[in-house]
Amino acid sequence: MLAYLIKRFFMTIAVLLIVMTFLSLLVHIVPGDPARTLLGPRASPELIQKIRSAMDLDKPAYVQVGNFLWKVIHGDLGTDVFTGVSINRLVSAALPHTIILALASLGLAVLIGIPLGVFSATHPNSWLDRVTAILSISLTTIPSYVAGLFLLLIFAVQLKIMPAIGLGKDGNLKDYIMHLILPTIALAITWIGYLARLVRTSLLEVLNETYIRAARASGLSGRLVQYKYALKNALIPTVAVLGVGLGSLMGGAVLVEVIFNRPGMGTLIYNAIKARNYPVVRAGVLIVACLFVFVNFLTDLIYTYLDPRIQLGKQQR
Amino acid sequence: MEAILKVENLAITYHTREAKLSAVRNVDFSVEQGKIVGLVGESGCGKSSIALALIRLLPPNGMVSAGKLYFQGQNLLSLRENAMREVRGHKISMIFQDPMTSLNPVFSVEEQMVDAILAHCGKNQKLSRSEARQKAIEMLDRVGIPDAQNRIRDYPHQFSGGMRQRIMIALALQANPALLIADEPTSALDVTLEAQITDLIRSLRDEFQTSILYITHDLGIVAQLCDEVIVLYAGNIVETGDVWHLFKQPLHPYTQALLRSHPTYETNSRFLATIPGRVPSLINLPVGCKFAPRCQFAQTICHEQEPLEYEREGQKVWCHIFQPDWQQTSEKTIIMNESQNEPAINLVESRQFKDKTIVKANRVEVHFQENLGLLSKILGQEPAPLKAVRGIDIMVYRGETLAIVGESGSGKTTLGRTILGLEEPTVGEVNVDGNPLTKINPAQKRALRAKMQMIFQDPISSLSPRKRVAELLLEPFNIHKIAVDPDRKVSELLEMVGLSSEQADKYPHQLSGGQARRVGIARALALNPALLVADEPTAGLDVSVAAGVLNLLKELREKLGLTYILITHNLNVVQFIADRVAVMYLGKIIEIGENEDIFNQPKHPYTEALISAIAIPDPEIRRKRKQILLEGEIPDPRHPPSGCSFHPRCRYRRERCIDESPSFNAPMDGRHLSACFFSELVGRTGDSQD
Repeated sequence: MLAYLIKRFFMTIAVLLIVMTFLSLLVHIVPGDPARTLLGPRASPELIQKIRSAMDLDKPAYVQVGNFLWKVIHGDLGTDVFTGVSINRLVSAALPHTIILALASLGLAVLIGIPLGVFSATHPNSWLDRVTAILSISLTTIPSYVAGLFLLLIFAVQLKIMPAIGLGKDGNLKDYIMHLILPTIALAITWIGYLARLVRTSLLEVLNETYIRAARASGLSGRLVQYKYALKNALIPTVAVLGVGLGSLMGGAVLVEVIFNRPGMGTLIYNAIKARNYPVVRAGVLIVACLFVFVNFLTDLIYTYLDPRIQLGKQQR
Repeated sequence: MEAILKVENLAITYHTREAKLSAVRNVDFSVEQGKIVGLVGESGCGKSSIALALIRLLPPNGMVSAGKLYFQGQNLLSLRENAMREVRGHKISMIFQDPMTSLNPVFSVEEQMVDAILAHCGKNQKLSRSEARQKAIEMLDRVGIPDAQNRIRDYPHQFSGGMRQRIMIALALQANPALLIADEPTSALDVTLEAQITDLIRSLRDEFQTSILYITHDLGIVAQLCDEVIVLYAGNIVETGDVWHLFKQPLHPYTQALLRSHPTYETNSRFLATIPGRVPSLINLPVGCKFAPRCQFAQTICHEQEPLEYEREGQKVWCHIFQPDWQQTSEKTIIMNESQNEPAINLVESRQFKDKTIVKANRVEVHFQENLGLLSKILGQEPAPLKAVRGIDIMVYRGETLAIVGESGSGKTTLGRTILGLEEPTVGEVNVDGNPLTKINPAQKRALRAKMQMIFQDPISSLSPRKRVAELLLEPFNIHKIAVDPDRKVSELLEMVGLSSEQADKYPHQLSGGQARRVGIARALALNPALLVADEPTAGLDVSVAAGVLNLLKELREKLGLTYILITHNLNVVQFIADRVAVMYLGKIIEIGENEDIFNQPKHPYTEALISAIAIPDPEIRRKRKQILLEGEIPDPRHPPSGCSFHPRCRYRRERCIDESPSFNAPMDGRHLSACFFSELVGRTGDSQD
């Protein structure tokens, strides 16, 4: 386990280094000088130079990455060159909203998708199974930004039963939750369908295994066999997908946050890209990458709980 | 005697999209208290369907379409599902074929056993989880799980195959059921483990007076274990009787043919009797007697009417031959004769081959190192390499058949692959036809490869599923860039292995197991090789089909002068076809010699035990002979025991065996050699020691 943790730690650093290097290179690939683009055509050369050095743009790429990482290790994500606000503050204001949105969507997808899949698998070819099949395939094909726009149009604009945009009034939990509902659904909708299909397939497969027949033959009740003996096996592939899925959920969150005007990480990064505010982009992407690595680490831990044959850090036979 | 189970007129039907398939028809039998009843038949005969019908766990598309199942006087079919659940695991238990898949991989043994125990003790006696756990430990202890107290917390994958089957048995017997259904419980296990498990089942029967319905295709096990036998064919019972009568005088032509197709030492100089054709598909069942299309005695009436029951001294048979209006037209005798009409083969000059060697292996070792990550290497976490082959010297003579025998993990397949150059020896060298495999250049190696071929263990998966048989057969010529007339070559090869030319257009999944095996052989023969390595050539085949494949191998050997290296754990096959036998244990050859010498006078304790476990379909021989049960299982090849690797399981071991490793003190020139310090004791003092 310890060896695994050490390995994982080094791998995380490697991943982050690659992401950062790539981002620094991106600055150079984008046409035009970032400082000039930022400040407009009439900026004085001195001002440009000042911004360039504030953004480390006058140094070679590896120094940029090095400087940035060195600061990050010391807990400093840098400063927003335009406003002079510490990026730490920007991120800590935005990050919770994104995490809440992602977790809420994931939770919704799991709460609806898994039972739907279990039901379809335990009642194969029933009419509800068929309805679920059609429904889940249709849901899977709806991108979150389309779902978001339609939800806005129907529930906020036409029916006016849901708040449209923003986070709600400060400190009002009920209002916050009301504002969370539509974005959560928009983000979860793809995953509900996908999970339902995935769980159905793997559960059907597991229900055909000899050990399920053996469990029935030893007189266990049908419900115990289905929900305990079969489901734990069937969830193994689902967890694998969810680990990667949370990453793409973050990607989806960017668009959904922009549509619903939620001041989360998505909006932060989106606005920073528009403004060529590279220090903010860089810090934002670093945070998202860290989250992604962390989620995958959690997935691995859940894996070992679900499947005792998997031992972290050991080669599989 | 009171019958625990009485099956009356049982019929099982499967519904598929295309048709209703009748899998089992008119099945009547009963199982008495404390008896072991063998249910025998080839695959697809409906054995497992009957077992699943008894506990009402047929798959959703299967149903009992007629009949009654009386268990302790109560018709199981009339029970409600809740009541049936009380019966399952409590009064009727079942153990399944493959212990690797019949335990749930994600729950500990404790969890699974406690759940099963609590499922039945809930109402009458309140049992706490810890009490249930205690009971589970007692049961595990009883079936021979060492250190059950601690090991109960382990997960199934932490146990070996033999141990898992013991756990399955403990799970099945925890409620002391009146009837135990065992569905091929040993067919996935090695020979020495099979002996342990059958012994365990018998001792449990003696102890608890459990009735057992034992399903198997292995007549040897039936002869050894069962009191009564039921022979099934294509969903019908064709013969039943007490085990002594039935094996001594089988009445039904199918039973007779089945017994005759069993390879034994006596058949070494002959071909095996085979049954032409195969078990009919359920879609297309013949009218009348289902066996008639394959029966050598069949007359018109057999193809028109179902046969009626005929009884003789408690033995029942369903065959028209025994009806009064049977026309005794042929001179063929219907009662099985000792010398049947399988033709003897002309043995090559008394099969002596010590002049020319074709393969010579010198001190060959093959190690496998796990592929480690960089970090583990830096941290120095390098596990011991797995030494699959640990120092083997062997010579194979041109034209002979050398059998390499051993249980799983003995390294026999690795040795075979190394001889073919598919695996590179870590130490030592293999010479084929005078060419050292590691030193010749790729072009020479390619030319040499054409001369040696392998018949792979799994017939279907070793053929590419996207190619037709004809393409598969021509592939070797394309690889070696040899121009041939494709049509002629394909039909020539198919004919050689006894397949009709219609098979050329089929894909592998459309072939039966036996046909796929024959295609594999044809492919191996395509380039006229001199040496064939056959890895378990009969694995997964039914007895009658396996007999055909073995005959073919023997015939081809005589016709084409082939040299065979036969890799198998099946000693019956070895007796039938081999000239010499090498017995492997944990990567070493522990005994080698002529077929006759090995089987008549084994000189190594391991060989002795293996031979004592050979399945002989004759209850008299089988029960007279004292079976030597080896303790324990093959150790982890990563950590072989010190001294003689066999010493922990050996009943002759002395002090010396623990420290010193025995080896052959003579060159391996074809003599009978044994790597044992006390080889002169083997077989002599055996019965006095226990």
